[in-house]
Amino acid sequence: MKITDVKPFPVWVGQRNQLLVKVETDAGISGWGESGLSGRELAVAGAVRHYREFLIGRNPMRAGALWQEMYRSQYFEGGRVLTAAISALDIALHDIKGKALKVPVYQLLGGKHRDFIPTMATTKGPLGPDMIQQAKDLLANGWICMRLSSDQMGIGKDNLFEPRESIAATAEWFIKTRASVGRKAVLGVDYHHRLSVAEAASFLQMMPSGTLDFIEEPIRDESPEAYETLRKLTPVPFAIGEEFPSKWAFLPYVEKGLTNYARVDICNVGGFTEAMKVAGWCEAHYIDLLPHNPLGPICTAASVHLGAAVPNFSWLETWKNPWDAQDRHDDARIFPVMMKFEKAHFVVPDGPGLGVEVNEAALNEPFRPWEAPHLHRRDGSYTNW
Amino acid sequence: MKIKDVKPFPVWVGTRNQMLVKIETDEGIYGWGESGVSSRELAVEGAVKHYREFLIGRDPMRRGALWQEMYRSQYFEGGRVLTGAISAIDIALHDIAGKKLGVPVYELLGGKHRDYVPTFATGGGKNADEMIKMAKAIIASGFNCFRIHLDDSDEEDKNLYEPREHIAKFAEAVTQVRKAVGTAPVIGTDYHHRLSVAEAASLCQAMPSHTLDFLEEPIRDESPEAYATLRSMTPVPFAIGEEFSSKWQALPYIEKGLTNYMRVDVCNIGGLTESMKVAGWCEAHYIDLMPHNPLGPICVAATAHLATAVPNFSWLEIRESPGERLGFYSKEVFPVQPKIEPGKVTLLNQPGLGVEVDESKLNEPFRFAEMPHLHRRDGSHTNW
Repeated sequence: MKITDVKPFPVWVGQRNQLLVKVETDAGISGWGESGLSGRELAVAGAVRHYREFLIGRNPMRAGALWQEMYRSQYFEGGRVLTAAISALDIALHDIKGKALKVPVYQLLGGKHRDFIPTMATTKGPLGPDMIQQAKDLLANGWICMRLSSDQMGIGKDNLFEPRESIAATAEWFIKTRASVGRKAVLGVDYHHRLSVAEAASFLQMMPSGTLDFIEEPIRDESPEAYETLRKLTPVPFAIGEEFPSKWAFLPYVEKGLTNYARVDICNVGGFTEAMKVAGWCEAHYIDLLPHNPLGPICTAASVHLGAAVPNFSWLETWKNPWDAQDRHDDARIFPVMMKFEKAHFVVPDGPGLGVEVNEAALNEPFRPWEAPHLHRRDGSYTNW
Repeated sequence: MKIKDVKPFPVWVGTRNQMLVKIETDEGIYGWGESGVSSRELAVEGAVKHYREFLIGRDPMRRGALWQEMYRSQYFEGGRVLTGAISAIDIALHDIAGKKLGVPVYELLGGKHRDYVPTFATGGGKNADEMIKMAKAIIASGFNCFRIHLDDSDEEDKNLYEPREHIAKFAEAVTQVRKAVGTAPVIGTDYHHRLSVAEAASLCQAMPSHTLDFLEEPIRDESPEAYATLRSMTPVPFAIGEEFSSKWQALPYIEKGLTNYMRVDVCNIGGLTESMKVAGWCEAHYIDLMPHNPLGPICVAATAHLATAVPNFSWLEIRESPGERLGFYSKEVFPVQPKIEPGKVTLLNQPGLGVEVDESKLNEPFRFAEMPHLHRRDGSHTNW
């Protein structure tokens, strides 16, 4: 079997773009992948075009070897644009291999550990009684694990964001939420790397012990040393890793015990090939995966197969709650076949490959750029989204 | 598909036992595995019998999940007898999965990185002259990497071993070997954990720079701290890991950069499932695998599939060269096995591991084989 074409499709789905990649073969089998560098799709599509040059004519069964060749060619290794492209291609190669051998992708990753994949949902909207109600609704609908909304301030409106104001309001409502929903819920928050070490410490110290079960990406991720400092300032478990574009980025977080949940993003870290290596070493450190899954049905399917094939797994992030579902990240016109969702979990599929189909006729619209909000403080300085 | 039976066979091949395990399924597909705790085969066989109790009726395709269940059941995790048994079972499950899907096992490990697997040889001599002759014969036969040993056992007392006497003679002899063969061949030696930290340091310091390209298992392996000390006393690269019976044992050696080659043993560390996890993290630390492979053709095949499926690989140990003929690769017992040539192993392009066992040759009663118990002149025990 040989690769005959590699096609990137940056396509608008619901609220923003998904960068899909199709790999075609001379056996009539094709595979789909997705890339996770949201907001920089054209850069990734460009990298995919470079890889296409040497992938055509190659054996798609050699996913591990092609990973090495993509990552290590052109001298300068790594970097998130390149690994985002590799991720999509690696996922597509696994889809092809599963179809060629007529087995679900998890059979290529050591077989199945679980029959369904528990998920984590997120509340939406401003702080307040509605958020507490959403948390209760999630619990009633089978979600044990959820992320509560932090105070978004002006995000998406005037884009004003003052970390100190956000954390004060957020902490107050989180205390009320915990009191209201009780101990059964696993409560987390994603601060989306908007805080400094001091701000994150203050935020966590504003809440009584046991308020939050984890905080996700409180600070930016390029300094494990900063996380080591934060680790000393709070006992709240960390969920880190959605930005990591390789096992090397994960390395200090795993080896130094800096993260308690690995937020691996299969569409950014380097696909199945890299995610399995990260998962294997997380297992050695007794760290469970809590995969990042903010994209479309291909990312979800790939994450479901990964989650099925590793022992050390907690929950998979999902949009499948009543309020996010309206955003149609999983538009059925584009994805006529995708993962089956039942009460707060995905069913592990038993068909060949990933178990996702794409309606290519729906991918023809011209590219529309989507730019994440650019936030600023009151003084006009830039601050992270 | 369901597991129908799990059969351990501790069987004499060549000069010692091989602990083979066969797993049979209700579809007629079967798989073979091998366990590496040589000379404690009956303990491993006993563990296999415990695992058999809950493996029968289970889906053999769920190899990762069954690994977890074997490793983590009964509360007390780990230990080399248990992982020795798990290794054989895990390899057999991969053999079954490959046969079921009609592909070589490496296709289940991410696909092929190389068309053949480079190997290293082992040889020795009683003195420098014999060692030089041996090194030249090994190189001439087609190996560019080999381990060279000084076999100077006492004629009267075969099990006498004095580390200081041995390292003094070896350092001098191997220095001459290096001079005789030049800089290009990759030369290592295996001290088989016979030395103390101080003895190993003296050995390394007694040789000129670049006499050895690697020193294997100079000291015992249960103290990474001792290796960290030795690391600060010599610049010779280390090849460590053949004794590791899980990724947790490999962990400090990888993370602290204590080994430069990972001597992973597929038949001890926990099979292909555990080996792939170790290999993945070795890659993160730019450490190549140099697998331990002192057993039979099933170990050769399983390790060659691992070697085919990982990017970070150097050489596979092979026990058939001008340096030794141990008879481990019996064609009578194993009519189908990988092709072994000087300097390389080539896998057969067939589903599963690519090994067949003639079960009619496995019927002999068990014979104990005990490794030598070494002692110093004063009578105290010292490691083999």
